[in-house]
Amino acid sequence: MARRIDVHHHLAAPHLLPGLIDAGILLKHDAEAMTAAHALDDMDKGGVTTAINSPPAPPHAVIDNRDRAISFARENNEYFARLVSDHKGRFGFFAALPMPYVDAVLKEIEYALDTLKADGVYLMTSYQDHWLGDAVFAPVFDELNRRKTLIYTHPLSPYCCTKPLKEVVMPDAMIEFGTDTTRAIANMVFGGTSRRCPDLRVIWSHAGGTMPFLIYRFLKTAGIPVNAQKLPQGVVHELKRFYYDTAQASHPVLLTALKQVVGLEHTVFGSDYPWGLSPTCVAELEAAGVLSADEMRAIDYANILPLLPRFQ
Amino acid sequence: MAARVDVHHHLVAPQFRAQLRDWGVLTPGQVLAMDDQATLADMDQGGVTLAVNSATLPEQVTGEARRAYSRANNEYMAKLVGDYKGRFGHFANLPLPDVDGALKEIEYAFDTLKVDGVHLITSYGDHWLGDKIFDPVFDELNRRKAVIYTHPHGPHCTQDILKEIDIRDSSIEYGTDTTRALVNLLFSGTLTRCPNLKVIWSHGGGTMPFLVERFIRMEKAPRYAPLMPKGFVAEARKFFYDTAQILHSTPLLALKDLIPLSQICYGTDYPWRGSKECVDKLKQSGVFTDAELATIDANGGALFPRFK
Repeated sequence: MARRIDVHHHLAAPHLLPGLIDAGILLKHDAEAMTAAHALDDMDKGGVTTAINSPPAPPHAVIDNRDRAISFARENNEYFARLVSDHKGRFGFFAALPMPYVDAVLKEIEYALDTLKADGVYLMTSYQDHWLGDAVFAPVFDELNRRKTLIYTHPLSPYCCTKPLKEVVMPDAMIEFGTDTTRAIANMVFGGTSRRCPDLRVIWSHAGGTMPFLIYRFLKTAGIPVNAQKLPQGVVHELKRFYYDTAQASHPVLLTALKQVVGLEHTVFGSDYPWGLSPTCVAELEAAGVLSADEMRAIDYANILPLLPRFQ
Repeated sequence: MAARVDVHHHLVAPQFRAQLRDWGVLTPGQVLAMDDQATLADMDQGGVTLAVNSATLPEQVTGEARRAYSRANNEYMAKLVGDYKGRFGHFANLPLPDVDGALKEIEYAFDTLKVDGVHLITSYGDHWLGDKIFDPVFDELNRRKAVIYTHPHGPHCTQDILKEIDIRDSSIEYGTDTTRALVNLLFSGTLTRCPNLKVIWSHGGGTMPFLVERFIRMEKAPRYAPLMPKGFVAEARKFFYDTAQILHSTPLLALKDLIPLSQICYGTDYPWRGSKECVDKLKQSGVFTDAELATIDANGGALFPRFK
């Protein structure tokens, strides 16, 4: 049977779902879809053999409270670990971390990777208006680099840009998420973390936010002498080391841009379940007319499989 | 000589240049480049037959000073139009978010100075174009069937937010602010109410082309479906987009795939980019044939009756 691995797949410990509804992160019907049974049903329909789970974005109120951040991470991680053993081969997980509390994060990394055997970790693109790559997070990246950890990232709307448009009713996912991913990419590359931590493998959601369309600006920024010194092999070399998922990014314009800027060797399948359904994602990727059968197979599983030893 | 119209071309009246340099808005080299003769020399180098000027609007200029800044720039640019026949057009500067001041300046700029359109920033004080506080301005511009040339900036909420790296707000934040304004104008219903406007978005539409899938997913929401009966992309194809700062095959190809050639206009971002560099890089991108590039070059001209 052909394999398909979904790296962008959101579930959460059942007792945490009501809080996520109250915080406006989930609608009621999103939460209802976030059970193992419903998820497996969707996976079967879309030919997804394995989904690597991560929780939805924690609300700002969780990020801002150390104890809540710690319990949000731990309770989701224990739930995800149970799903891995309850449904052999069907689920993996990216461990949630109690960012931005670095000492607690280091403890959770140890527990999640050593005891719960997570497949990687889950980081938001920014926390409290500090983006991935900021110096405050250096100990976290050094430890993840030492462990050669796979990092799956997901955007949120930072404080600075939460619901900026007052006249229209739309989730911040529409515009602000894409930009926050781009900020984090720029911060990781131009801040030097990506070169200081060469063993990190980082997945950016949604085809890299808006980075591929802003590539000319990235090239210009890389030409600023202080940045050029940090990037002896150029900015595109760094961008090609990252991985990019296809969640909410199956339009031919996006896929073509991604292919041109970084190639498809590090593009990986993501559905954004429960906001994206896997059969729809597969159909849209195929209908885009951009991907060859070989490229589709690589995106489905061959690109990501080397980074997921437990599923090899 | 074949027309090449630059819709993204910045000048500032001479009396403000030293102040903008001191604020760091312009480099000393850009101040020199804003001299009439230096500007014309750059246009000649890249074969630009007509440049439609717009003045940078630094946010340090506020209140009454802002009205005076708009007026002085508009008079300066109108003089350039008269002094160098056929070489310059003029997007009027407006003192927004001062709506009363903007309405007065619209009247003076169109009726007395005979401008080719107006220059709006994508947001003012964290209010984006399409916000209801700007309704009187859009209604008046719609009545005049105006061309609106828009330019992004880094809104207050995002200014210099990446503190640890050397990156300009123009690199990431400008593109997003264009997308916010475009979406806000469309999804707020402003453009349904004001169907006579012709809007030019800078820099290939900011980040809209790369986020198009998100907006397509919203087009059927009951709230928005009446605003875009043929969908988001059909509406996006009514706008104009300039080529400033997207001199790379990836954004150019994305724009070409999404937007008809008739809506893509040559733009340089002078004095941040020279006209010859823009011409050469558009050609080197390999995205457009020579005939398509000639269309892009000429498209801007069709927007302005006096240059037809």
